[in-house]
Amino acid sequence: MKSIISGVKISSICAVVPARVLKFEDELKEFPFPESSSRRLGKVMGFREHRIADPKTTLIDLAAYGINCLFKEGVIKKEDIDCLVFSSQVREHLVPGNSKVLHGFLNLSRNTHCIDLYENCTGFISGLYTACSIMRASNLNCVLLVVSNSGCCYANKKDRNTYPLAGDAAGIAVISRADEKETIDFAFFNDSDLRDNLITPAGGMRMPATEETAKMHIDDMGNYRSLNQLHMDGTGVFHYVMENVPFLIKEICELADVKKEDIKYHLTHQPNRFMLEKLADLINVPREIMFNNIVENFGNSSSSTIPVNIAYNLSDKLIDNSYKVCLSAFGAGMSVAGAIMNLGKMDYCKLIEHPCNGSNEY
Amino acid sequence: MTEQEKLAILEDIFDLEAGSLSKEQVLKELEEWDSLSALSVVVMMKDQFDKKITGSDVRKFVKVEDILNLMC
Repeated sequence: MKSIISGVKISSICAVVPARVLKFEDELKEFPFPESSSRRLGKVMGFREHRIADPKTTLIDLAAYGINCLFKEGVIKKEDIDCLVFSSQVREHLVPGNSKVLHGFLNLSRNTHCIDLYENCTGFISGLYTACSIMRASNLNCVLLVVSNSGCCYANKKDRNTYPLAGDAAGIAVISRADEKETIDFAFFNDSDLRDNLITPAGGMRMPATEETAKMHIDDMGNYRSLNQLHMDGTGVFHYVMENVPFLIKEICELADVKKEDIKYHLTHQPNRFMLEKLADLINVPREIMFNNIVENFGNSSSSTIPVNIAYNLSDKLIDNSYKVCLSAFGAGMSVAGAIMNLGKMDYCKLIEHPCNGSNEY
Repeated sequence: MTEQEKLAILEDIFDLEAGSLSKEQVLKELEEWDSLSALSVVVMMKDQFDKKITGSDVRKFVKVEDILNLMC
């Protein structure tokens, strides 16, 4: 699906990572592989440090801290928030949805509409499309888009395939009205026949979690995993990205009537450095404008990596300047999502750290 | 490409000394055969031979010879 929405913009971004830093070098001994082999993997993939919150700091805490920061800094006022869109595939509770819980934590107005999207890697762009559509459809002034993913403290420390790149983070984007000639151009494609490339088999209706599904197995490459945990076919994901992201970028440039050379920055989802380097080379884009440094500094926090990427790499530049950028995301589904927009002259754009001390006060 | 040249490409991927890899080598018994080298083989097959190797294909490799046979 392709869509152009006019008169909207992202006016602020606040990205939140836990202050707790874990180092790959300290985790090597847990993996059932020789340390030299793990170091080689770390060097290529970009495993160095990742941010993992303590068990008491949930995805809602990270999000609340970020929004409290925006209140404190005078960027937005509680009563001005017309709608809150929360996009994640992690849940505070099974019932009610994340947006309602966050609404409660922040004591928002009862007039603020709350929506939950159950989205994974493409969650920021999917959420952005939803937030912009709602804004235009209902003639609103301020919609908050929240992506938040936490809970990596429960991930399998022995699974070298997924643990080293796991990270927790939240991203808050303030969607505001813009000049009518400002547009955000979106494109989405779904290849659900490949959904087994990234799947958590047990824990839902199709295969409820049992003692049996919790048992650890060793896969062909020696990784420990249970059916309750994420299975990733690295080769399948690699092929999917290399085949479909160039196609996505071509389609979305055509939609936006923009030449690839006019894109100042490619702000992509951050799976690992290796894949992003290969992708940049494949679509003939200088590696310097397709940042790939988020996994080695913070980890892969699913849909949160895009706001973390923007805030970490372009914070100061985006306050004073405006750039034509292409956002792209790819992953579970399998799906790809893209958006081209002018991003800049922002009211606020920073990465902050949640102290993980039991308080969400900024 | 000669067999020697193909083995050299794999020795580079596995970070092994030149001339140390034999086509009879069973992959499971090679310490350097892990998910990273498997992915590097997949990337090499795509970049250098324009061939798409899937995860399922990789799981079928038993000896180094099985990879060499596809490098054409």
